[in-house]
Formats: sequence, structure tokens, C-alpha cells
Amino acid sequence: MENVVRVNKNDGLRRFVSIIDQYFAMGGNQIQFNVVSKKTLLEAQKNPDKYANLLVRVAGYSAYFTQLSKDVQEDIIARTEEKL
Amino acid sequence: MIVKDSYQISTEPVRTERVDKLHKYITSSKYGVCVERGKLITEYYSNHTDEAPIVRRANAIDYVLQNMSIYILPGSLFAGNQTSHPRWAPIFPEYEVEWVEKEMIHEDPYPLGERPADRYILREEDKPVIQKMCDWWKGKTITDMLRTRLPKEALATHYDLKAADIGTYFQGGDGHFAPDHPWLIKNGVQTIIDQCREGLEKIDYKNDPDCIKKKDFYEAAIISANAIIKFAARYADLAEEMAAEEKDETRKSELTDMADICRHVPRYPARNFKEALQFIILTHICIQIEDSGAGVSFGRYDQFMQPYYEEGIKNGTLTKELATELTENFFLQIYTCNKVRSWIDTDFYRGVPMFQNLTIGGVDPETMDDATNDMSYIALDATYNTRVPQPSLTVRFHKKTPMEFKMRVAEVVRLGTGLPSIFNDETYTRAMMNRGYQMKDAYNYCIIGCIEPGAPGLLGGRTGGAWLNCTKALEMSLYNGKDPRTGICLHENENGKTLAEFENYEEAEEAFADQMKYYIRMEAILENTIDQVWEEMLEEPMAAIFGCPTTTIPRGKPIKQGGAKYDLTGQQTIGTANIANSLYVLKKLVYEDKTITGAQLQHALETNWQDETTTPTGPQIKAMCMAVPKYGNDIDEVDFIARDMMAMIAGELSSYKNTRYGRGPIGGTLHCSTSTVSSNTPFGHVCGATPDGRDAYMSVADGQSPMRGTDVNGPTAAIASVAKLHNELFSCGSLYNMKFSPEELS
Repeated sequence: MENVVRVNKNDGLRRFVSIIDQYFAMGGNQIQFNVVSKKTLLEAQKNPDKYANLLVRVAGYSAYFTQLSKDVQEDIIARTEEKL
Repeated sequence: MIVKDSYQISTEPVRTERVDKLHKYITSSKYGVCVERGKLITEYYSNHTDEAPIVRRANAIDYVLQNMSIYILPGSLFAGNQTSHPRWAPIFPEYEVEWVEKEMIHEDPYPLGERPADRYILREEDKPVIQKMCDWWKGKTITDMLRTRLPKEALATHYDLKAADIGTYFQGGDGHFAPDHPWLIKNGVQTIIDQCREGLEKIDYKNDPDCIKKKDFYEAAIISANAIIKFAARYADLAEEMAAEEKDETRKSELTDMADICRHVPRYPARNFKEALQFIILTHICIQIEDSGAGVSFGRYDQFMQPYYEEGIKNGTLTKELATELTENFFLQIYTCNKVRSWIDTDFYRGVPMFQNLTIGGVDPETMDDATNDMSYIALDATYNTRVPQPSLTVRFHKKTPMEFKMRVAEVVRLGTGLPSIFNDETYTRAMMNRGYQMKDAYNYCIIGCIEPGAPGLLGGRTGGAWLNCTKALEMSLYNGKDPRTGICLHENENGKTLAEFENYEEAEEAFADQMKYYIRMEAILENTIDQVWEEMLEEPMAAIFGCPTTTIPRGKPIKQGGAKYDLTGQQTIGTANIANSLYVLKKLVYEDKTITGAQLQHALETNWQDETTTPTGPQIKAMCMAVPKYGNDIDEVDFIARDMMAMIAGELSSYKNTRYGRGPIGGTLHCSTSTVSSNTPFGHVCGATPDGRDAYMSVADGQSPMRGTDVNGPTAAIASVAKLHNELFSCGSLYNMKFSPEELS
């Protein structure tokens, strides 16, 4: 996996922080994130060896995606990909 | 191509040579099973049947610590190993041996190394050792006692219906606490010994009805405190032996230093940053050997390490780089701990989680000012650089959290490792104070396990507990209390009606609340029976003296006798979105719009939307159900059902006392969380089709998140829905998962 990220004056990152602030101001307790595309997850299902280090958030913990069972992988894939 | 405002940056981890080598060494070690603990504890228990349970336990763990294999990781600056190899898991036969024998000996349903997920190496030569331990423990385990003592309804709830399930705590210990690391590293274990000796001398044998219990506790505590000192001395000896043979001068001096440190801590107070970390590692490892409980957490790492950091910087013995390397070394050392679960249990804990949580950020409970410090950033850097799932990093946000810190948190989240998870001080502290926490303790909270708040060093009980499968209760309410999958009916609806017979929405909601309350009662019986059996058979001295030293020692009581300042029994509530969406479908479709009747919907559910002969057909009814607005889109009608039903559940849970109520601690009740771990998958497997449009046996929703794929109005609407719940009632914590594609965070 490539260790690079495309940044755009960090605007996305600021919007991301403001979502958390807004959620907490409204009385939210806790939030955690998966930052991964469906494409990557589907590719990882097909080529687990190539994605052995891919960590994802399952629930109150992170785990290696390719070591999860199919049903839990599908659960994570099916979660809504939000847009900022 | 270079676009003006857009460019690529490297997210390569920055690791020193030491950290890089350690990372490769540990992450390339396959998960395995180590038989040493199981073998040794069986030897001790089988040869010593006449001791008080807590003394026997202290001696047994001492015997394990003095006889297990120890090693020092190549290049590591710290000593401490849980088993014979990194990422190998110990066996805890005293809890249950049925699954151990079934899976490890008979390879049923799979050999451990060939499971579809969560595989472990098990060496052929270790199998006779396992057989021997199983043979001795059969009929004597915690599970054996629980089966005898639990009422048949509670057993059916757990094994057959899976409406409330406490399997993990049949198979293993409590865990789920944050030891008082700040107190321990400041005082040293010798202080515990001294205080316990004084406690022994002061026992009032004339007037105190608990005098013998206290004597047993103090004796056990002294054995355990000495056990960790001896354990550390074994590492000191090993480091010295290795130093003598080491050719590399730098490594030789590191090993000599390690030997000196292990002769000093944990017996005496830590004198510097490195000693503090060595102290914590040894305490943590001993707790993880005493019992198999997951969720043993570290508390507010940045707060208690900052003074050691500042002192090191001031006297020139530490730099930011060195503190980062030591923190990363510490993280990797913690990642070597592991746990093996039965195949059935792995379904609920997919991906081998240990929940060793570490908290940073938040406020200073004395000044109420922002408490972010150098160590907060160093811990974030360590997570950024190590990229292993443990420790689970938690960040506390509050109104004064600096933007710089939030942006650094966002950069770490952007890596996609799922770490850190972010918590709101305002609501979490209110939730705790609502359960009786004093303000200064509430504002000093850390996260324990997944998402559960607790005051480090002051909270007993366990923040994790039984699973409460709300979708199952909802399903049974539609069939007048009968479970359509097994045909079992433990409790009929008070109104005696099925979905086909409810005359209005209120009757449907009443029936759900009725079923829910019955299964909460079953949950409380499961939780309290387990605690009662543990108190009698398996009281744990290390959890007592490391977990809550400032209360257990003065009171002369371990945790299960009421030794903690605060004591609440946690749990996990599953299916928030499914119950809200299902009830709203009934309200809207059946009773308001009257598009279909209750009987029609009931038939569609029973036939899993497959019956094409009805009008409308099963698939058409499913489509109608799916089209009704869902929780997660900022629509009050459905969100308020989620809010009110979860408030009802949280209220009912906290009306049940635990076995420590009135025995010393503040609290003494059950309380609610919305954590799921990966249980939304197996709990879905036992639930038929539900009115929210969900197919039979499909996974239910995770945490208090919207049902996957049904939050379609964007993140602002989704957070609005989740924030509408009475979150302060979830004093055992909230879980909300949100997913972004990486380009969104550019």
C-alpha cells in the first residue's frame, strides 16, 4: 500500500474536525471513523496478501481487515460512505 | 501533475531502527497458543486444595510467574512477556475447559490453525499437556458452577434464545478496568506490602465479623505483591546474563540498564520516564496473566507521564525523540499480549481484539483547563508510527481543546487505522455524575475497553458485561413472547397479543418494553450469578491491589466484596437502529397510514419476505418497509423512538443492583452502553426478518450507528440523529461508527 495522501490546503481535514465539533455540541458522546474506500476494501478481499497490513475500525477496536470473517468484512463495506 | 492547491504528502511512518526492527519482529509473529500458564496453574491448584480461595489464587499466580518462560524482545528497552512468544495467548482452564478440549484436542469445529478467521498456531506436542489440564478441571470450572446455579430461564436466555448472552464471562475473567498506574508508579509495590502488613496487624478479631476475610485478603495481597517483585527480578537476572554475552557495547549497556531498572521497579517508585513505563508493563502483564479479561486499560497516559517527561527534559536525560521511541517501544510491547477465544466467542470479538485502551487529552479535573500536553502529541505520534491495533488510542475532546491538537488527531484518523476514537467530555462526565461520580473523578475519566468511561484506579466491577440483544426482544414481542426460531416462550406479552392482534401502536410499543424488561431481568441474573460465583471461588488479588489500591487496601476487601470506590456492572446493548426503525414502520405503515395490516406484516416477516402469493407480495411489503424513513437522517419521528426506547432500556438496566450494592462502593448497579464489538453479526444470525426491512439472519446495526446504508442524508443529518438520543444515560459508553473515503479528508 502506498503511504501517500492527497491534500488540498487541509480543507477536508478542517471540515472533518468541524463535523466532530458540531456533533459534540449537539450532545453526541463518541465517534470513530473508518477512512477507507469501498474500492480498497473490495480489492483487499480479492488480494488479502497485498493488504495484510490494512487496519479498519470494527467497533470499539481496530483489526486487520483481511483477518476478519467475510460477514464482518461485508458489514464494514456496506456502511454508508459519507461525504463532507 | 501538480495542481495548484492540491499536492501529495508522505504518510510514511517515522520509526527509529530499534522501533522498526521490533515492529517487524512482533507483527511477523503469528498468533499462537501457549500452554505454560494453563499447565502451571493446574499444577498449583491440583496440589493445593486446602487454602482460602483468594490465597490459593495468589499462590497459583505466583507459581506461574516464577516458572513460566521469560524472554526479552530483540532490541527492546523493556522487559515483560505474557507467554512464551509474542502474540501467543495463554490458556485459562479454571473458567472453562469444554471448548478447550473440543477445539484444541478434537479440532471441532476446526483445528485452531485452520479456522475461517482468528487462527492460532497450536503445536502437536502441547496437546497432551492440554488434555491433562482439561481432565483435572472438568467439573470444577466456573462454567460448571454457573450451569448448576443459574435459573433455567437465564440459561435458556443465554444458550437458546441469545436474547442476553454473557458467554465471554463464562470463558474468562473480568478485565475491563484501568489500574491506578499514577499511584503505583509513585508509591511502588513495597508500599502495598507495608500497608497490607499494617492492615493485618490492625484486624479487629473481637468485633469485626469480616475479620477472617480481611486476613485472607491481606495475606493474598502480600503474596501477589511479592510475586511481581520476584517476577521483575527474573528479568533482571536474564538481562544480566544476556548483557554478559552481548558483543555489541550499546546493547550490552541497554541490558545492564534494564537489569538495574527491574531490580528497582515495581518494588520502589519509578525514578524516571523509562522506569515508569517498565513499571506499567510489568503490572499490566501480571494482570493479563492473573485472568483472561480483556479491556485492561492504561488510564490517562499523557497526564501521568508528563511530569516524568518534563523532569527528563529538564535534567537532560530525555529528549522528545527518545520519549517518542520509548512510547513506541511500550506500545509494541503491549501489542504482544493476546487472548484465545472459543470459535463461537470469536464471532462476537472478530479480529482478536484485546481492548487495551490508552487515553489522552481532556481537561485537568482540578483547574478544568485543557490538559493537552507534550505527551498527548507523543502518544498520537506513537500510534501514527507503530500502526498496530493495540493499544487502542482514545482522545478526549472538550470545548477548550486546541485546534492544533484536533488537526493532529484528524491527521492520524486520516491514516485509516480506525485510531484514535474521539470522546466528548461534556456528555461523558455528566453521564458519570448521574451515576454518583464525584465531579473531580468524573473529569478524570479514561476510556476502558472499547468506549466505556471509568475513573482510573477507582472503578471496580467491569465495564463490559452481558450482551443485550434488543432486536431479539423486539422480534419476540411481535409473536407474543415466543421466539419463532426455537419455539421457546419464556414470557408472554402482558397484553397477550401478537403483531396481527395489536390494535394500535401503543400496544406494540408496550409489548416491546415488556419483553425488553423481562430480558433485562435475565441479564441481571446472569451478571450477578457470575459475580457471586467469582466472589466465592475466584477473587483476584492482583486486580484488587493494582486496580484500586487506595480503597481495597484500607478496606481490606477485594473488588467483588465491595473494595472499589465506584462499582458499576457494564453491558452492551445491541440493535438501537433496528428497534427504532422497526417500531417506526409499525407506527407509520400499519397504524397511521394503514397501508398494510399487522397480520400482513407478520406473515411477511414469518416468510422472510418470500411469499409471492399474497397481495401485496412479500417483496412488495419489504420495499414498503424499506421506504419508511430511517434513524440516521435527522427525522424526528423515528429518531425520537430511538431516543425513548434507549432511555427506557438504560433506565431499566440501572434499576438493577449488582452484588456490591451497599457494601462500600458508590453506584452498585448495572448501567447501559451501546457498544457492540462484532456481535451485531452473530446476533443478526439468530433474529428473523424484522419490520425495518431487514432480512432474516442478516447482521443488525452496530453500536448506536444508523443501520448500515440507510443514513442517506449526509453526515450532518446522521450526527444529528445520533446526538438526539439521551446520551447522558449511556454511562457505560456510546459507540458510533462513521465511514469516509480518504479523498474526503484531503
